[in-house]
Amino acid sequence: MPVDKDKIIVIGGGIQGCTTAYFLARRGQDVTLLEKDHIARHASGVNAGGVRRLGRDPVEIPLSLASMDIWHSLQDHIGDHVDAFHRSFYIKVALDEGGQAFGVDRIDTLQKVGFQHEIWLEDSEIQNRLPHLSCPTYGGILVEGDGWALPWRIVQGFASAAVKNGCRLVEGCRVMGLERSRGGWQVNTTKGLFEAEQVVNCAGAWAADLAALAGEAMFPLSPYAPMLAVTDRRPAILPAVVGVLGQTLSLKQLHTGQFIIGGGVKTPANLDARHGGVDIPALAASMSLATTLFVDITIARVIRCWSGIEGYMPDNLPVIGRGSQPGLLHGFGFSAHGFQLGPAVGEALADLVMGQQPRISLAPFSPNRFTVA
Amino acid sequence: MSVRSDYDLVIIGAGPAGLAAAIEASRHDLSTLVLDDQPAPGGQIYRNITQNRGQRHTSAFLGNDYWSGSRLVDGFAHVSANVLTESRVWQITNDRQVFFSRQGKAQNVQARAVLVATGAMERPIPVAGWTLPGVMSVGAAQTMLKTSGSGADGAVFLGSGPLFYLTVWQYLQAGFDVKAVVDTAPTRMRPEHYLLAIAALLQPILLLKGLRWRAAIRRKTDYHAGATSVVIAGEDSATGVTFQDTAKRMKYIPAKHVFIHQGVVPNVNLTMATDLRHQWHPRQLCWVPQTDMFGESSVDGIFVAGDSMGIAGAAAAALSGKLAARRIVANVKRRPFFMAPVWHALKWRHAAIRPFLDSLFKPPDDWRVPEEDHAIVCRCEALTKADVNAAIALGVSGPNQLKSYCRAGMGRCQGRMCALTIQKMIHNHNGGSEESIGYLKIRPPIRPLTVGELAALTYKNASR
Amino acid sequence: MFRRIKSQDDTVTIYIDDKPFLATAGEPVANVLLNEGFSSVHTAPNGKPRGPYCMMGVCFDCMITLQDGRIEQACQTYAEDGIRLYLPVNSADRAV
Repeated sequence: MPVDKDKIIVIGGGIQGCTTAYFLARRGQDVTLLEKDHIARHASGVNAGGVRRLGRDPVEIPLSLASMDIWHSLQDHIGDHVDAFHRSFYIKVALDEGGQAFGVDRIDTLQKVGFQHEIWLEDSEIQNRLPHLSCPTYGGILVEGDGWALPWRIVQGFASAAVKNGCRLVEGCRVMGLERSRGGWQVNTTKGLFEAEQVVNCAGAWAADLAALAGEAMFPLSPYAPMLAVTDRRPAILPAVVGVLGQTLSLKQLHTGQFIIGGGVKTPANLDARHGGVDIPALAASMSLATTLFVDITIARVIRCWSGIEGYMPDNLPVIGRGSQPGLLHGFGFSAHGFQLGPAVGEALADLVMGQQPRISLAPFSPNRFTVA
Repeated sequence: MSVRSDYDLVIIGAGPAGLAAAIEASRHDLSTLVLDDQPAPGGQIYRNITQNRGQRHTSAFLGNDYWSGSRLVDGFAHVSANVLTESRVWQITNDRQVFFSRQGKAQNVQARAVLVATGAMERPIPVAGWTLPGVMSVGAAQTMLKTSGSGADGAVFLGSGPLFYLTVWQYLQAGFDVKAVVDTAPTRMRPEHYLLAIAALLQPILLLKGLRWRAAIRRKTDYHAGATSVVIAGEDSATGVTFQDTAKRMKYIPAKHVFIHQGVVPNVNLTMATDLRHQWHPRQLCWVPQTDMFGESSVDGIFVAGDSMGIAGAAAAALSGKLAARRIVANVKRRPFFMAPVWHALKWRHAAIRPFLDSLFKPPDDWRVPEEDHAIVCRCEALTKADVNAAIALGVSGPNQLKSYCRAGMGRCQGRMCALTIQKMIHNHNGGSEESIGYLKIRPPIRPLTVGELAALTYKNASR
Repeated sequence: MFRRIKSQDDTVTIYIDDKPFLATAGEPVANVLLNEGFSSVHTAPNGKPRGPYCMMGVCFDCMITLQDGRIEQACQTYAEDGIRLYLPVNSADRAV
């Protein structure tokens, strides 16, 4: 006798929501994705696009490694949107002895627990890998096969793939109320009433508010808007993504020749107006660091700065797992480092929805870790 | 001249609105700084006027409206306002920090009040072939006349509007050989034009001047009225213009220089990036900042004057600059402003002809969105109408979502040359009101600055 | 081709692709480009040549390379004696 499929609603059209909806749809589930603006409108669409395993919190590494397997086989999932992922390598250089000590120590720690993906490079090797580097380093960490992506296109790829597999996508649909009903949830939105047995909360910076609507305790999620800058087109000099150990910088050069300079300088986020601020002098230190690394960048012209609204958790770890009420799951709070994790998170949330055990332990990300005993 | 770290009033733009505002503010002892991106005051309309005065006899062709600007520029030279030329303003914060770059150095000043008087730019008109070398806007041709007294013989002028006729007139006065004038304005006035022309009678001299120019142009050039289906031909540079005349015959005029124009619109990048509320102007088919009648915007202490707040011409611009400055004086110095109604009336009178002109010279639909699929819509990213339509067909709610699909609006000009076109294209597909489609989200810096400059930027004011 | 009808007072020498040209002191170098017949200055992303269009700093199609390697708008760069500018359309790194 065929089992009645659960109806599932995923709330939030960023990377977490779109990958979750995709994996569920691909597994033949009845899934609807609700997005209050349009797909990839916020953090997932406007971030620096770093696709990295480098520098992850050790408890996130298994998730990050599992996710990278999906990134490296992206064409199986999102078809021709795969052109948005540029696989190369990621190097975080040490510019002083402190950075060097930190880096060496980290590699040691990781290797002791069996993680081999981060490798220590001496300065001579770094100069080889980055021929246009303008300064000596104290060595650095390399991860081969990390890279960068055009974030909006990746998220659109997963959304399209979800729809192709039967997911219903409703944009411009803001959730106003979430109530328990017999056997599930009633989701009251600006585009009408939806009903489902299970709801997945992937609402990004708005996820704590959404959880509270559903009757969960208030999660300690703080919205901020990290800033980024893009330059005009320059000759290609940077084959990889570059960061600095112990300092705020993320630097890459797109296929167009434009540099993306970021790293996490934050401005206040306006959740109602749905945008963050642009505080350009606050970027000065990152800009200075970029020119130290690559003197050629000094004359590149910044043509636009922007910020995206992201939700930050106090321990810098996401919330992934079942909520305190039946049929409610969470996948939010990625604190500006959730983009690369998206594919594995979506897969894990799909597992949970279908009553299966995710292959990666989600214990460190338990929603319960914030509830008062 | 030493620049202070804070001023009562910072004026951005030294065109008629900015100059008039600076003169008024100085009369009331407001500490005032004027920032302008050119080497000398005058804006676009009075460009290079100080330099040209040395050779006024050879620049007489520029006409009286140009030379009348001397009064303002002279008046400005005698006031106590500080002026920084070659200064590119790239951000105004909500608390009125004004960031600008000058001689490769990024700086900022704090203002009690800011007046944005950055004026207008020509409407971007994506006619097929408009990106070819040799094609320029009519305003660009006029700028060449003003700044180096040079022009191109054998050019075709294509389009319509007051600036269009004025520039052809100036070319003829200067003795350049005009190959042809291809006029896209309707050949017959419609009932609504006659109705609006009544208000225009408040400015009879302007009306007569326009008629006189048009008559002379008809007589002295190869003039074609009512042109449609325009294409600029050429492979790597312009070689000619094809169009359909009123008898539905296809015509071709060879030319290496083509000057095009379909009116002017406010240059909104600075006001948009400053988070001012804007509204759609249904007659002028452009966005204008929302202001009260003194020009104060939706952000406290930030005012807008001149063509930046809506196209109304130089005389109205000067009055709106004066009005805004005097209002700021009233706020800062608590001096009552009894003359306001009189100035408002004067400004209204100077702008009375506008509805008639806007209506008569409304850009034809196929100049707002090209007919040809291969016509370039986003110049910076070289995207054609077909490219953009393919992305629109995926389903977009507005220009910002479209941008992430196909890069339209992501280039150097940050939407100046394409945002209005894209809005219209999305509207054509989605329906609803043009206003509801919205505009590209514009972010600072609205003028590019180098990474090196930005790296050296520190906050000047301790109050931060 | 553009031609001047006013005499040039106060001239300076500027260099376009290392060739000397006479300019009026302080005039936008875009004017010199047009007056000397350079209507193509840089290459668009589709490989096609572009040149000055608006002459007021909003179209960004008059891009030139300055001596220090900076890409700048020719209409916002003013002629000083000895200034050297290079046309991206003539250089190996054409797409700017």
